[in-house]
Amino acid sequence: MGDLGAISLWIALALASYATVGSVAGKVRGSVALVDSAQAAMYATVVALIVSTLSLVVSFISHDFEISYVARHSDLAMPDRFTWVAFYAGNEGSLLYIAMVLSIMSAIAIWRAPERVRDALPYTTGVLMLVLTFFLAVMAFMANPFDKLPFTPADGEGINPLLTHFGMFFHPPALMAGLVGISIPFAFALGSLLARKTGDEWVDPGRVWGIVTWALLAAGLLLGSWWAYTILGWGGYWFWDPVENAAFMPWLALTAFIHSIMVQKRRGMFRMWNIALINVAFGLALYGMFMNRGGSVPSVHSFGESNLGWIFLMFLAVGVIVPFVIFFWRYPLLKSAQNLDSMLSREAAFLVNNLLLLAIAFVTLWGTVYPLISRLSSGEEITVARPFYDQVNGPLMLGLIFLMGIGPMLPWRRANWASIRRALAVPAGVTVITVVVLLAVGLRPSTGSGAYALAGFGLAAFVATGILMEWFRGARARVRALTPGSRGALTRVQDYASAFGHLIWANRPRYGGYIVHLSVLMVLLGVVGTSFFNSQKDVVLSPGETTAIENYEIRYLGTAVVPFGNRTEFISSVEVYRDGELLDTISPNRAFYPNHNMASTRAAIRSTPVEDFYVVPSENLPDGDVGFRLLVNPLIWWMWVAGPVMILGTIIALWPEPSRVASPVAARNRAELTSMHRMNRIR
Amino acid sequence: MEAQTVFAILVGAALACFSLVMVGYSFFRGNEARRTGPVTPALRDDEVGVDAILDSINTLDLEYQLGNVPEEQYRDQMASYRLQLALAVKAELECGDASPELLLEREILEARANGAEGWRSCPRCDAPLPAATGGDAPPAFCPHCDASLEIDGSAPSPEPPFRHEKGGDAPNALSRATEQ
Repeated sequence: MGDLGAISLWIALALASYATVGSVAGKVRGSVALVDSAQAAMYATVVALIVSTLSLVVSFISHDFEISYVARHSDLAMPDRFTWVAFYAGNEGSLLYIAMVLSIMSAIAIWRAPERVRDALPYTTGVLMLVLTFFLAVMAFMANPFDKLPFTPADGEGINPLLTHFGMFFHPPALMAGLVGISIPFAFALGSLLARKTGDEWVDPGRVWGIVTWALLAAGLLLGSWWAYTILGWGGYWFWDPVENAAFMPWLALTAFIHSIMVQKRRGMFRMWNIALINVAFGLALYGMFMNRGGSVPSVHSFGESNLGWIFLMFLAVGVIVPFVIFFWRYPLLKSAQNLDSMLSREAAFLVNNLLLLAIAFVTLWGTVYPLISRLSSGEEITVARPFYDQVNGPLMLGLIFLMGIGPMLPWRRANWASIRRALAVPAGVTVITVVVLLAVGLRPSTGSGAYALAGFGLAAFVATGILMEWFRGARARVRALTPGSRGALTRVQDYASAFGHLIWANRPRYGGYIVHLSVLMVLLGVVGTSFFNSQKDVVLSPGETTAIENYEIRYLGTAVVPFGNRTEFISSVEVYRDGELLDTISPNRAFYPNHNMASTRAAIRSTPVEDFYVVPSENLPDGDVGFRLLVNPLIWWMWVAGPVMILGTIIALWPEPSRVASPVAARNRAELTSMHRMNRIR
Repeated sequence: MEAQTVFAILVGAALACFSLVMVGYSFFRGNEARRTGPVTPALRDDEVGVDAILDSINTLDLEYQLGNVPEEQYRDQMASYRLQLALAVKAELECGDASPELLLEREILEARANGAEGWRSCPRCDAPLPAATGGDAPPAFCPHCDASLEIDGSAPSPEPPFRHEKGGDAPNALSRATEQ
């Protein structure tokens, strides 16, 4: 199957190259046949890359160790269910995965593109296929997943033990799809610029694909955090590692983009800003891919032994410089349809939100590249660690959360102080009560600044109350309103539950956004809980010994040594007591993989919405003693629940809009306008 | 040659042929099958599309119901949006690229203006309505403004029961906009 995979890879490269040149040349020369042909070539790349992907998957399943990639990332002992993970476990396979995802996304994006962007589509296609051609060329010439060994080994080296985790089925694919998916809104923006369509034509597909890729990145980041929490054995979930940062920065830029694109959609404003933002997001995505594949800083998340860094660095340079050259070339045409009416408006709130998000992104970028800069400038590498990010990004993030509470309360165009006071009175009151109650019950952070922790909880209460009030007032308005039913009969929505359902259904982007905001609050709870209120203890216990942390006590019973084909597992038994009562017997374990000379751990976690009790064996000593790390992590449960909630909100926000005819307001306006038009004609 | 290699070559060749057919088809099919020329409505750079304005109106309506927008501001903004909407719809109709339901409505209106029978207009919003024909009963409510229509169609209710009265001056604004 390796031969078929290689053949289809070359066919895909030829098709993508042709699609790149053909679509642009066809547009420039005015040849519709050439443009259509190039578009067909783009669709054909999907077929070629699916064949290539299936070839690699079948090679894994059939243990075809003649293929170097299969031999390096699987062995006979690997369960079949990890074939999907092994497929993208290395540089070559992950590039194939990225190429396949990009080709599928590109085909869907072009196929479903609205009529308004049709004039720009050849350029959009050209941009997308240029990106795809890059990945395919890198694979074909530098990192071919179908390269063969001169001999066929009896067994492979096996999959990286850290990847044999449920989260790995989704975390890398979501993250890679998100990073490469930014190409889609970027290509729509760049295509529109090249076609001199500098209005709002690209906004709808740009917004939809921006949200899709944003959600993929967010899901990837959350799953990555969960993976790190459960398998890396240090009890944390975010380390401000350079590769983590590299995925976080494009997410921040995209978050800014999906907010400001709404302003352009709604009011025709921020046209230059949105183009600049998506260029920045694309550049940061390329930076993320560069960091993953040979960036200057090693990371647990990057592909080791990669020699592709320089080619990705070149692509990054081109991917940043060329779009901004085109942007400045078209700059005089990028005039907004309307101006900002007032700084007290939703548009202005979005603008400040954008500035804060970009500030966080650039602080993170500075911290990430600073070791390199210090090494180049003084010859001494100075690493930037968590305290820097916490001190600089912490206040910015709190400002962002505050704005998340105020922004949705502000109307478009302009607000007045009276309505703002009225809208914020209850959330502000709840915030004050929350802080007072927290102080009264004696909540004192174990680490860091207590003010930050209280601010975090207070802001969470502020935003949540604002959202819940919006929901309640919206539902109440619908309950009170008379709505036209079938045949024009007037009906009244009976109860709050159905009124709330109708409210969400009728305003999906807005209420989907609120649900996503709630998921952000859940993440905030987890971050504040674990950053300021967690407890940690490292102990060495002999069988039968006990130790305590907070109101938990554990008794270490013993360790069983269980040999497997590719590893030896050391499974410890630990009884967990709280306030003297036996809660559970848990089994954290540690496995040693001789082929990789690597150990991996599996923490045992008792998880509740209030707190996690976390036990991980950090070391197995020869005499049967075990070094344990014990943690009590308050509220972290909410962080993992935030993922599905965020996905739900995104789906609601992206659900296609109902027919305009169904909207009473729209129907009424159209009717009036049509009547007016008729009168005009008759006159 | 191994069976697997033969299989790979055969499937690869089939894939190559499929790709060539896909790529070449565009050059051989008839011109009539192709879309040619721009069809996008010629929105000026300082214009916002109809859908965006309708979204804005819906949002403003919701904001008003939520109490985020005071009445005076609601009226001003609604009138302004309707003015924009009037111009945008007019531009779309003139380009011939309006939404299908608008184009259909225009055809109906033109048919009426040419003396077609079987139609009447809602006295409140002037929208086209089918009159009683054959055995079919005429509509009891105007589907556009929800005004109830008496059976004989002669005296609809003076005000529709579901109407945002705060924007009640908008039709005048629209008429003025069109006359300009």
